[in-house]
Parts: sequence; C-alpha cells; structure tokens
Amino acid sequence: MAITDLTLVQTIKALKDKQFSNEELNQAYLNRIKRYNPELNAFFEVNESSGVIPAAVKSLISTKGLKTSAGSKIIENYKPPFNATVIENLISEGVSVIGKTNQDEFAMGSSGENSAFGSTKNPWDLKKVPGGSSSGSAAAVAADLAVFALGTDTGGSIRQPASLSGVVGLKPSYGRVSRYGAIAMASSLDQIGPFAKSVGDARLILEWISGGDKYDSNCVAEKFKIQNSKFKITDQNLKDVRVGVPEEYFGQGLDEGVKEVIEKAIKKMEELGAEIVEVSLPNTKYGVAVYYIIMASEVSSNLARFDGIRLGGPRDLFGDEPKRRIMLGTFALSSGYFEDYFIKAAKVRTLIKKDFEKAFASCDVIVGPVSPTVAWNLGEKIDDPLKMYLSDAYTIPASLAGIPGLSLPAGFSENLPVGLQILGKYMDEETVLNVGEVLEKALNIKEKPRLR
Amino acid sequence: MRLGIDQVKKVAKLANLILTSGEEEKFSQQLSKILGYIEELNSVDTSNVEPTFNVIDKSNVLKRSF
Repeated sequence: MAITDLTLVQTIKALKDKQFSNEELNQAYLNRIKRYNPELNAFFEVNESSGVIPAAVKSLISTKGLKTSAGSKIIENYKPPFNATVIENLISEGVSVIGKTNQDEFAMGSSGENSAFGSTKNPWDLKKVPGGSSSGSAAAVAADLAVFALGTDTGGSIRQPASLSGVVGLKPSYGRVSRYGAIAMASSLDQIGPFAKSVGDARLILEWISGGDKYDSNCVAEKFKIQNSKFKITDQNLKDVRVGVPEEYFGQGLDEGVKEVIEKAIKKMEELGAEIVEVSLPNTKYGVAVYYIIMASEVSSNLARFDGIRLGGPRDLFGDEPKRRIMLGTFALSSGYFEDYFIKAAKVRTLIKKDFEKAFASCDVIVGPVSPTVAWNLGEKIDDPLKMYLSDAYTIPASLAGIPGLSLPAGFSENLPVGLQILGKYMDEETVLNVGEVLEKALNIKEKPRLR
Repeated sequence: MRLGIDQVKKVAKLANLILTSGEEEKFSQQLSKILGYIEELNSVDTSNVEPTFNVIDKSNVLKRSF
C-alpha cells in the first residue's frame, strides 16, 4: 500500500510507529501533486514546505502568507497576514497546509466551473465536473493529493462535490465550527467542514476544527467530542437506529441510476438492523427558491466590502455568477420588494426548518441522495444558471435548517460515484458519523479513480 | 416578475456594478427566469409564520475569554 493510500487515522498511526517520516509523507503527496495536478487543476498554489500531516485547504480560507484568492480575480494576489481559526486549530494538532485548492468564485457554483482560474476536473473522468463549490478540495482528496481537505458548505458545497468525486464530506451544524478567516458568502448559512478518505477521519477532523473563538459569535464554544452516547462506534450494526426516508427526495428529477444506488444503501441499513421509517418534508420543493433569495441577499451585503478602494481590484473584476447573485440579492432587498421577496423567503425557511423538526421526532437520521445525478459534463449547465441551481435541491434544505449532513460514497452509476446523504438533528454529528461509519464498513467500497 | 433593462440598470447602480449593455441584456433574461421560478413561493401560506434569519436563537453575545 502506498503512503498516499492511507487514511488520516492510518497515517497518524504509521507516523507514530515510525513506518515513514514526515518528510517522506510530504514528499509522497508532493510527488503526486506534481504528477497529477497539471491536468486536474485542483490546486491554485502548492506549499512545498509543508512539514507535517499535509492537508489541502479551500482557497477562501485565510492562510498566512499563502494566496487566498477565493477563486476570484478581484483578490487574485491577496495573501492574508493571519490564519483562519480552523487553520490555527489544525496547526496545533500537527497538520500543515500543503496547498490552496481551486473553487467556484467566492463559493458560488455547483460545478467548479465558476473559478476565475479554470475548472477542476473530476478524477474519475476528466471530461466531468468534480462538483462545487469546493471543487479542488474534493478532487484533491479523491486523487490522493492530500490526506484530507477543508471546504465550506453554504448550500451543499461540501456534500455535493464529495458525492460527485467519491469521497466523504461533512457539513457540520451551523455554529459548530468558527468561520473566522473564511471569506464570507452567506453568513446565516456558511459552515466549514472536512473532506476525508473515511468517516473516522471526518470525525477526527471535526474534533480538531470545532469549537468557538471570540471572533465568530454564531459559533458554540464547546468542541465536538466523541460521545459514545446512545450508539457506540464499535457496534457493527444499526440496531435501534431509526432511519427516516423522505419521499420528497425520491421524486421527479432523480436519476434512475442514482436512485438504485441509494435504495440499495437503505436496504443495507435495514439488513444491519435499522428501522426504516417513512418521513415527510413537504416544503422541500421550495428550498431552492428560498435559498436563492436569502443567500443572494446576504451575498450582496457581504460582497459590498469589495469596493475597489480598501481591498482588491475594481468591481468589474467579479465574474458572471457573483454579479448575478449580487444583482438578485440587491433586488430582493430593495425598497418595494423586501417584504415580498426577502421576508417571504425567510418565512418559508421557517417552514422548512419545522419540516425537519417534525420528521426527527420519529427518526434519528434522515437519508437520501446528495445530488439528483452523477457528475455531468464540463460545460453542460454553464449557460443555464437556473438548471445549475436546481441540482442542489437535496442539499439546500439542510443548510437552511442549519443541521449537519454527511455525504458517504455509496456506489456507482455510469462508472461515476454516488453519495448517500445522512442528515442529523441539530448538533448531533455524533449519530450521523456513527451511522455513516457502520454503513461505510458494510458497503466496503474500495475503488479509486484510475489516473494515468 | 420580469426584470426589464431599465430595472437591471437601476439594480446595478444600487449594487455598485458597472455592466456592459451585453451584460444588461443577459442578466435581464437570466434574472427574469430565476425570479419567475422564485414566484412559486407566493403559493405558500405564511400568514402565521415568523421569519427565520438565523437558525441559532442568540443575540448580543458578549465577548468573554476562551
């Protein structure tokens, strides 16, 4: 087994057992980056002097002295004078940043194609998108160019690329991880989380990065700790776990091949002893509309700071997607439309949140697809923004409700990976991760992308 | 809701964006389509519903030493 095949947990053990040194570990990953990054375009910048456990970090997360462009020409050469809280947390755990990853500009996109510096390619098929907006972080982990990666998820930007690129991706609960140092997109939704090679890795990374600081007042102070509460990680079955399946996630628009993989995974959960419960999330169909008002409104406010005076270049350096969302948000907040659009969307958001509260009264986790399709062709949806937006219909509701969600590789359709989404109650990442880990072991998916 | 060229110009001014005439035309079409889709929210009864601006019920968090 190559060094770069190891999970984070295995890597830590191997380092402890002196099977290889930190230098050998970093060299192994740097070699792969040198070989494969030119065609994958997963990294904007590589840090050759990464000394300890090498992690890839989404461009928009501030890293001292390393370019933090957020995929935008407007701050193309920005090097922050400080580290984001999550980076400080990782450094204190013996992790270093091996590179900053490609992304859709200011995290706006579902395919990686809105990057101002070229698309990332999907390691499973270079003609396909890797998903977005954390496109480079997903591709870097899928292609073993880093032990793990950090991304951000506002409406699905961790879970969806994790699904399309065949890696584990976790969006923690809103307020679980400090966003200090992450360039803001939509502040009532943004959350930082890990891309990992296994669920166990994701759990460990969440322990490392979680917990509050004095700079993000939406963040809870306590760190995520492995609780071993109701359901122990060492358990090999899902006995006593009630798994909710919402019919709204299996309707029109869901690709047949994806549906088959998800249904098989649910069957597997049942075989492992889980009780399958039908639940209903009736306001799911309004998620995309609500999201595009609330997110765009917050975007128009957050991106007003790029005024061409204090930080970055002139505003015409914004790409099409940021411009579109700034326009949409400005309109929704403008006099005469504020009540009809912004307030209306915020009210429907309440209904979506209540849907989950009601559903979780009868189950411990909710499962369904992450994305209605597998990875699509580069260029396929780029001229039709609405079509691109609708591809996030299954990830957006959890973002609006602030609950945690995991994307777990569950199988393949058309030779491309399919992720199962496991949603949990607010601040109950523990159950989500435990269920994910038992299922991961049972599904036992070993395939890796074949890179030449 | 259709966002005509004049309205696109007005919103662009509010947003401090300078658009080319090609962009104005493109955004008029694309934003009209998106707003058309968003109109489906009008069919939801929200007469007794409070808005959610933040999922966490916190306000005025005071600094303390961590």
